[in-house]
Amino acid sequence: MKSFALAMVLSVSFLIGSVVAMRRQRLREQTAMLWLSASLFMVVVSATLPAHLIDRVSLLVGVAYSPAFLLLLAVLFLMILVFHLALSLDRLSAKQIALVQEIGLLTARDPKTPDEAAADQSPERPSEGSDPLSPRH
Amino acid sequence: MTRSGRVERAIPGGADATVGADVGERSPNRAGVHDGIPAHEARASQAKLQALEHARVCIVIPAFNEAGSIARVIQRVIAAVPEAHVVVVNDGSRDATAARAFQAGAAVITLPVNLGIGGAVQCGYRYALRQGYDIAIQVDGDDQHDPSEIERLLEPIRAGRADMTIGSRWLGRGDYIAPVGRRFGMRLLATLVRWRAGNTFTDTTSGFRAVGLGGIALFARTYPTDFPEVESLVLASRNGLRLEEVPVRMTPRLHGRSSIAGIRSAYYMARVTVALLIGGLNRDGLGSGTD
Repeated sequence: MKSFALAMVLSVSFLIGSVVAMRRQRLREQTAMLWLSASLFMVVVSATLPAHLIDRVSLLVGVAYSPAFLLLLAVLFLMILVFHLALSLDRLSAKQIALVQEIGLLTARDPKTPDEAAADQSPERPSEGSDPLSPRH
Repeated sequence: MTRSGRVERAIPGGADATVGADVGERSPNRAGVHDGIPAHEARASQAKLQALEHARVCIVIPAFNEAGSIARVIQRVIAAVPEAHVVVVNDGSRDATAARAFQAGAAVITLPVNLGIGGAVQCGYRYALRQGYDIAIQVDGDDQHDPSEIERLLEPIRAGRADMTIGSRWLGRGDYIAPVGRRFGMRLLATLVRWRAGNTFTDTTSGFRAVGLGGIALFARTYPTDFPEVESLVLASRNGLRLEEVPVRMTPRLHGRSSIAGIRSAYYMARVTVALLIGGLNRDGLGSGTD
């Protein structure tokens, strides 16, 4: 009974956490749906899943020790989650590369434009040290 | 996404049309709008372009912390190809690369963070596309490439024989000798590229290359990120560009170290091999690339 209470408390607080993050707009809809359904699933499982069912299913797939089967499911879920995150990270970095390139193109300096030629001739031309082109440190 | 010549379609109107800012470039998003210039029309304008003797040439020099050699490279390039426009893509250098390049007379694109060679080179191609250049030439910022050989790269493109030329160390000119391990790696890469691209290249890792408008448009849209030389050969072949290797001289590096050395070279080989074996190098999509 103690373990049931612990599972219940954990999953309900997870559910609350997801809802709060969603209401504060920390989670985008797609991600929020994932977490919401994951925590709901946790609540339902901890509330209703009879232990003998787990035993039966794990025997069905050939796992003798049913908690190990549960662990396998958890690891699988986490693997899928990490893969999903890795994919979105790659998408994000592709977008970021395009943005960095765009910044470079927007701030490109062409010495051959008339503006630059005029700047070259102006007396208060910045020295190399204070050159706006010198990279940040 | 259909195959039907996305390369050709991206060529807006050849050299006689004003290829101004943004013309022909896709957003990095895959769901870009497709404008419908028929392939045969684009090809005709490409032929017209190739007939032009005085194509506008942009020389792209990617540079990361090359303050020691960049000015000399630019001076040599300007001396060798005075009519060309030189642009240095300063890939988030922490030294005075940008200032030295600017003083030496190059246009300078400074990337606020380091993107790596692929991202920097692609930025150069995007610049060339937007500024309406007909030919883009890639030269390393470490003075390994001899700018007097640029004309050799240009000739097949100007003559309309090729859409992309690659300067090769192994075709007889020069006396560049690589260590045994590196030679083995290069042979392995050549074999993989031959298998994926259908062409034989003697120098797959050469960063000394030139592309015409079709190649500029392709690489502006899609370019592999990390170690792009090898993958971009396959990408170009699979997109119907005609590639040609040109014998060139190369000299050892003046300053700094190659980005591919020591234990990293093994990692490099593994990654490129994986990319070539299972990467989505078909058409204009690369698994590891910016798209």
